Amino acid sequence: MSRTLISPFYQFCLLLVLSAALLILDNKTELFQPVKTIGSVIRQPFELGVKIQSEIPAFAELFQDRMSMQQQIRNLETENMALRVQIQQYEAIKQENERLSRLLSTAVRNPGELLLANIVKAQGQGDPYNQQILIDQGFESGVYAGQPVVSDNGVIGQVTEAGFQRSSVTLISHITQGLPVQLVRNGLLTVAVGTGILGQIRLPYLELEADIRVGDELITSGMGDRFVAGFPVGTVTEVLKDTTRPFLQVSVETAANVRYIKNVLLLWTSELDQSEGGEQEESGDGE
Amino acid sequence: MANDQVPVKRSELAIMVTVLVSVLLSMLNYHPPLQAMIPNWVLLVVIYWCLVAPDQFSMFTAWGVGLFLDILDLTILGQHALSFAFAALIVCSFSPRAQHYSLWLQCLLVMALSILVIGIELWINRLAFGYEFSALNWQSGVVAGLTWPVIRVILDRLSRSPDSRSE
Repeated sequence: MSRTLISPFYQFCLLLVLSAALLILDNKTELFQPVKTIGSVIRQPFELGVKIQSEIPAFAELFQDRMSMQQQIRNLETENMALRVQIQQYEAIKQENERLSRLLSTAVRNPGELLLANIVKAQGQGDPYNQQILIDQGFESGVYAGQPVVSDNGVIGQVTEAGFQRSSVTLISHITQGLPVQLVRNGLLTVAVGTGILGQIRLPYLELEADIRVGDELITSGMGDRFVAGFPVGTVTEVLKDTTRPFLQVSVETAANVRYIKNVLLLWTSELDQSEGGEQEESGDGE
Repeated sequence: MANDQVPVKRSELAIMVTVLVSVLLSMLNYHPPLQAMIPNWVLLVVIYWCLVAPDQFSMFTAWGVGLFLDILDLTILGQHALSFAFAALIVCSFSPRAQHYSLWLQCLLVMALSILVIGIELWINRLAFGYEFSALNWQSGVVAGLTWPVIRVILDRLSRSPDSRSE
């Protein structure tokens, strides 16, 4: 066969050129979008294992006794009630907030539609940089590249690749990600940057005199026009002041722990142009 | 079954099935601390077939399998393809002899190859997205080396007795 015709080295050279062409074309153009669409569809039979994996807890639930089920339902009902009451307050606050910001003539964006998506796979395999998750919603349901993704306790990241029924989401802890954030305590604005370590981000652009301490809460500032303001991002865990460096070294632990979540929420912001997006960065981190 | 008459030739069905099963295995979810330790199953299978049946599983096949994985995982196209082809090239250069290496030496070879593949993928990502270099996630490579004897035994069983699994 071809093995006997050309030496392995030249075979490899041929493949190298082919791969390089693919890599460049895929990185710089949208040429392979249809291929990715097909990929996200043929992927589905292979997710059989994932399905079985996720069925195991459900299977165990079958043997749960009636009493504990009833208890669980009662707990959920109570929680639901409490949440409903809180929402009533929230509605009032939201309206007041809108009125105030109209007075200040600043734009408010409300989170518009929401869509629940399940995490199909956490793609951290063998590569600390590859902090991406695959979710089971794609452009079929209107998902677009650059779309913000949150969980019930905070920001997760953004969609970087929207397939037909699958999309890959890059986490905020990914090294290419930058997220405009704000300190809850004093409103200090800055940019949070991924570290490459799951659940860890850092604030590299704070001057040495900045008022920040361990335990400070961070929320999204809404600048950069991608995330709506006010979503929890994380808590400051370490502030290092090294006078030989121009900036503080601040470590932040993200609020949403991807290790333990199964579902994420996709957001559509009401005033946002949905056709934009596709870039890697949330905002330019000008170093 | 056509393969029964030619004992030297490995069952092509076995190749297909093992590759597909390894792809299926690579889709499974683990808790992230564990996830970093899980070896690249597909790579292990590719190395095995390149080693044992280089005539049926060429560098081009390895490249194709890598590309298939790229398409499935929505990663940048060519990332796995190139790294698998490179692994195949190295296996190829060791090929007829490496089959008879002691199991320890094979383990070391697989370990080195796995870490190399992780390195190549990191490097491709760096070129494509401009990451900075940081520590290589070598743990899964070491685990890959350690699981090699098991993989080898299982795949040997599958490929040597075509009647066991071919239907």
